[in-house]
Amino acid sequence: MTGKYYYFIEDLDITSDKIPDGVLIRQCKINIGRKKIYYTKNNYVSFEKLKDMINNCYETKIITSQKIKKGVKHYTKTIVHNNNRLILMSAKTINEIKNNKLDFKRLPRIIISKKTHFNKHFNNNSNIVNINKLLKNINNLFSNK
Amino acid sequence: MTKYYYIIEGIDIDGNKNEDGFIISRYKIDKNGNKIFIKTKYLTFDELKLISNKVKFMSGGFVNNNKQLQPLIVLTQDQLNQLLQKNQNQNQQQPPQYVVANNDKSPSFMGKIGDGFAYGLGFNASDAVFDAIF
Repeated sequence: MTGKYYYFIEDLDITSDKIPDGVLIRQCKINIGRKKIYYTKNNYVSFEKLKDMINNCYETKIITSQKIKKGVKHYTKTIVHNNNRLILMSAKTINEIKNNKLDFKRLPRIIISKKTHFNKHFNNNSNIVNINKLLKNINNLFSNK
Repeated sequence: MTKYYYIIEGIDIDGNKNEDGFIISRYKIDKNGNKIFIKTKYLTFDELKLISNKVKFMSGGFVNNNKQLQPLIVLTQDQLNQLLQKNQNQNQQQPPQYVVANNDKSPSFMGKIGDGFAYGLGFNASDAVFDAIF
């Protein structure tokens, strides 16, 4: 089966102290037409390695404001410019994806649980993660395996 | 009482391309037949072996001599994908409760569970043991 790889990322505790030490990345391919997910490989990435991978992918947020007319009032809408798509999702949404309930055409290539222990690294106030760069890093990780 | 299902897969933790332990994914099936994944836990080979010793080794492969113990079923990656793609609605047979994914790249590692399925030994699991893991 040819096509793009998608990745599910979830926390993993390997020391049994109930604190995640890294993440488990599940690689899969998705047949959009048939709405089927084919899991291919799993990879564990330690927190240190994950931090390095994400640090390479930070970009500064560019924020602009736009005045929008609504009725007689005007208000300002803040727009965050980035080339990314939402990757942090609730466990419920992730289960819906795994059960083929959502539109696969709009699926991001990297899917991470909102509740991840490493949330602040993916969702930094001043920087945003360039998903394309992160995707490249993860693809490399799996191709070296 | 909620019935849980488990998928056991090998995983390389230290990046040396050899699997060091197992990830165990726990899921349940809702009333619409959807699989609801709850948690994934990591266990080393020794930890799993210790648990398996506690449970019992039984000869006879997948023949279940004890009604309280359920056998582990070994599936290839393709078979596992088929299982995950299936919606387990009421008209369909329930999936096996314990599944071992036998990765093509490291069949010997996964075969180590219960001294190897190739020798006709079956590793059996019980709800209580897996509840304790989670």
